[in-house]
Amino acid sequence: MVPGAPWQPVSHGLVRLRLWLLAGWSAVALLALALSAWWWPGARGWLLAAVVALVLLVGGAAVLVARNARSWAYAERADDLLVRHGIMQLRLEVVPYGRMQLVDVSAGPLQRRVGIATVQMRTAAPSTQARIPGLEPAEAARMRDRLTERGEAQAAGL
Amino acid sequence: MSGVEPGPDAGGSASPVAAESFRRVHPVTPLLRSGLVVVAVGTLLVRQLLEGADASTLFVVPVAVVGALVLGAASWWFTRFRISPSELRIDSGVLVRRQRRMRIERIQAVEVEQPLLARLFGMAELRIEVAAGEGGTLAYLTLRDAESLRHTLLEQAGTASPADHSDPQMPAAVVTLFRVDDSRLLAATLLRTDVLTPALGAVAGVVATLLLGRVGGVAIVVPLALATVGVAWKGYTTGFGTTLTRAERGLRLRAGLLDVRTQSVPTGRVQGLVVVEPLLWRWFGWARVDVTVAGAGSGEDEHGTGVLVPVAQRREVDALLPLVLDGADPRQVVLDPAPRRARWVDPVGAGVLGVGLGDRLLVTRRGVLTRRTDVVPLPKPQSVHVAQGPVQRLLRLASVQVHLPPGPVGPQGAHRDAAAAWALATSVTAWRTRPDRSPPAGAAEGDDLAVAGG
Repeated sequence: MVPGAPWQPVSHGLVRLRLWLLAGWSAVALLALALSAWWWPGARGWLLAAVVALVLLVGGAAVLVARNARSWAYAERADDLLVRHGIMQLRLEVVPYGRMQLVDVSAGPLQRRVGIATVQMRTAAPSTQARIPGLEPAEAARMRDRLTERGEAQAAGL
Repeated sequence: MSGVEPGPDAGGSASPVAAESFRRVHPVTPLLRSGLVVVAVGTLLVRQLLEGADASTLFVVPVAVVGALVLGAASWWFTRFRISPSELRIDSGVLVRRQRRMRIERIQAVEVEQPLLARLFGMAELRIEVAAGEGGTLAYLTLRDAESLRHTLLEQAGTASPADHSDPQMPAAVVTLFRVDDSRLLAATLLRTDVLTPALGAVAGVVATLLLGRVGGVAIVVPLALATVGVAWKGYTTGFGTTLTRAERGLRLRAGLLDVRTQSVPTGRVQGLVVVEPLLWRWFGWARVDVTVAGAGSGEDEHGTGVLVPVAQRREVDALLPLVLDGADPRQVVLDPAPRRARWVDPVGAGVLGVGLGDRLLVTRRGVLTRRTDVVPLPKPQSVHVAQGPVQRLLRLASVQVHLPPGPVGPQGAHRDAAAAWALATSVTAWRTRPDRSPPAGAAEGDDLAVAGG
């Protein structure tokens, strides 16, 4: 997908974050199963099968989640920013610097724990989906400044 | 009217620029505004009388009417506006005073509208739209005042060209570019899918009711019939008499049977347009044109950046489009069909799909039943999105989507050859970032046949 571009991968923190989230939800599911086993002793056989299925499922999901998180990449070219992600469903967003109206940097509590931030570019089109979810905060701030600067230099009205 | 304050008529069109003092809207405003209340209360009264009046209603009604009028008058008194060289200021509110200041140079559009009631009194309202912010409304002014204020504002905003002289009463030569055929509009409205579908449903309901001999079917038939009439009525009355004339900076649209709205379509701000041809319309060679204009009607669909031409012959549309697109002609853009292998993913629609990248325009076509041809001037796309699903990857296909400011236009090129899709996504953006951003300058680059119109 656009081979010549200077692609940059996102931080490994994103992979960690997504895996932690997966682990968290799996823990909740396991807990629910354990509670059910305690409540309905008769259904323990089924519940054991459910636990096995869950573990297999989570194992498979972990691989996909990790690959998906690692698939995020961006490229800052002379006039536009490219963002791509996805393994099954590939997506590429091309945003010219001159069209950017806002560059948001945000980091939720979980993101901060793994040391990443999200950079979101907004244009006059609400459907623009240019978002890079896994940048190190310092890099995110630098990127915001760079994008803003280039946006101003190439600004075009509507 | 009061003797002290210079009324709107006194301020007049003679020197609105110099009029630094505050002005008020026309004193008939509270009457018009309360008109709705009076009508509502009136119907309530009639109903009460029919059902057997009781003394309290007879007392409440006049109080409500008088109250509405008093409130209206107070609101009129406290609503003032002033145009200075740098800003338009509107003060309003009786209890909570509101001051709205709009910088003149940020004014993007000023529209004169005539809702039905106002129109009966020869009144009009002025809507002011501002870049990136709330606009304002001035209601009601006499039509003449509204036109002259509109002119003043546009002139001060520096957007009216010097060629656009002066007297708004007597536009020197109004060049009519398009006038809708009202009987065709009626026929076309009735053939719209969103009119036909509930109509067919209603007919089916009637037939079923008659066959089954049960009255219960009415519960389905009545709402469907109402929906049919409602949609058709709205389509017909809003599109009625649509007239496009040449104006400063572009076109001017005037339309409506009951509520007449006028709207300017500054061609430089047209983000894109779409030619829509529903299945039944194609038999007659009819098409509709919707347009997305930046800053116009944002947040209010009613006011709508929407419909430019409610229905016209295809060749009328072909003649009109270059005028909206600053001379670029979509017909000169050669559409490249989707590759044959796209039929594996979209057996029915793939034959229609087409994308063309011209010197100044991007054109996409899609839609089996209702065919859409989206046209975007090349500097306008905000961003481009390419998606490729697993099946598309096997077939080396990818779908391209062009993002524009909110509006009816949404160019999409589904199932393109993957390599071509990447190239398209990057070239649409590359074009607009060339240093020469003004459209005519682009002509230097290639065989731009389309500038002739400009």
